[in-house]
Amino acid sequence: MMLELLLNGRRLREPVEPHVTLLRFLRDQAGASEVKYGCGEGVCGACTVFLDAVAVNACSVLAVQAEGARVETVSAFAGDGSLHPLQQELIERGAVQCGFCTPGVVLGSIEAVRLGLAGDRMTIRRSLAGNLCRCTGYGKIVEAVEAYRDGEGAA
Amino acid sequence: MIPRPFDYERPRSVEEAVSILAGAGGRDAKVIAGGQSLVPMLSLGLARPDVLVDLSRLELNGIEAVDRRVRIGATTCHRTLELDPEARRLLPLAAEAARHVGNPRVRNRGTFGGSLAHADPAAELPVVAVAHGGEVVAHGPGGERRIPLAEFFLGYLETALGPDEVLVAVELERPPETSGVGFHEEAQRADDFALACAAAVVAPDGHARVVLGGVGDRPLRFEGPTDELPAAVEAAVEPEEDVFVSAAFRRRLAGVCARRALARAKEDAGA
Repeated sequence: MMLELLLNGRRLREPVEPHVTLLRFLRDQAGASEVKYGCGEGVCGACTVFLDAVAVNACSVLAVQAEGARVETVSAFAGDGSLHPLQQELIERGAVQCGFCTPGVVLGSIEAVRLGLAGDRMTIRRSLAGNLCRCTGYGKIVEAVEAYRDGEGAA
Repeated sequence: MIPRPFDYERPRSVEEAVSILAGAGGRDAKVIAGGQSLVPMLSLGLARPDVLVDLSRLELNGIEAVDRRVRIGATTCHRTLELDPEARRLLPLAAEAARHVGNPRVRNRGTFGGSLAHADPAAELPVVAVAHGGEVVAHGPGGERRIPLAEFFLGYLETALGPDEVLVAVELERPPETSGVGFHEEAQRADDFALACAAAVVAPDGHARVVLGGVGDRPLRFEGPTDELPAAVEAAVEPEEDVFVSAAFRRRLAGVCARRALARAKEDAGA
């Protein structure tokens, strides 16, 4: 099938087999290696992308289901040479260790703050459910999300 | 893992979806919408359909009050139940339960109809649906068929839906205004699969019903006086052991979930 979508503002038109997940399409066909392949079964959150402005696990969506959609990866949120404020907070607080979960944490937390679901530490933790950090650096991640919320996120 | 190849159809109407399913012949056709259970199952090789029929583009989402019922469109996502103010007002029990489904990304994409049609015995929303009571609205080659929720769940991943039927909506009975509702879940981690969960509806006179999930092959419904139900639940359920917990522990959790859901419902009724 021919798949047409907008990836980070760029129009893509690519043939794709129905059994290819959005994750595999983004990484292998669209070169979006910032989308990480963790568990591949909707548990770890490393492959989080925005699909029409809603955070989803790219491993749990078929590429063909994204026909006509606007897909944004973490790359859409960092300007040329500059980082997104949440990325900056994560770095400053030592919340990035191996970094594999970070793209998913960034996108999931941007959505949580946008929806007003980062009011206190407990709700931030609940919003981060489904973002597994195997370095177990959750404390720093929660602090970074809090700082981001209090900064630009609250604006 | 990479799913085994399959054909993919994106019908433009429910009728077209039904005719694709009915015309599948010996081929294994499966309906997909949010895909939050099915796509991982495809990747794990647990599902190996020949053709997928995608309902996600059909306008089947939405929640509306119809007399004493609430009609939930099949592709209404969990996040809507959890966060939408009108949905929360109409279905506070579903709102509370939806919070426990998967994780935020799963809830953004997973659908109410999909959760019911998938019929995972540990899933929260089938439990809520049975606690409300009402009907599943299905479309098949013969037109619309209404299936009482009490007869919908037949066993592990098994429902009364025919292979050529599409679940288009669910109509839930609304409990009387004076009743209270409550939900409780025990899981190993926040948003993990329920080890056990319970949804309760309590009338002001103390008569209650509680529906248990995760402790049998389908949602299990109990009715009686509020104070007697937890013990009755614990005595009646026959959960199986798994790699996480023993059968005895799960039986105990069933009683705990029933008691806490009922307590919350009782409090809600008094509020």
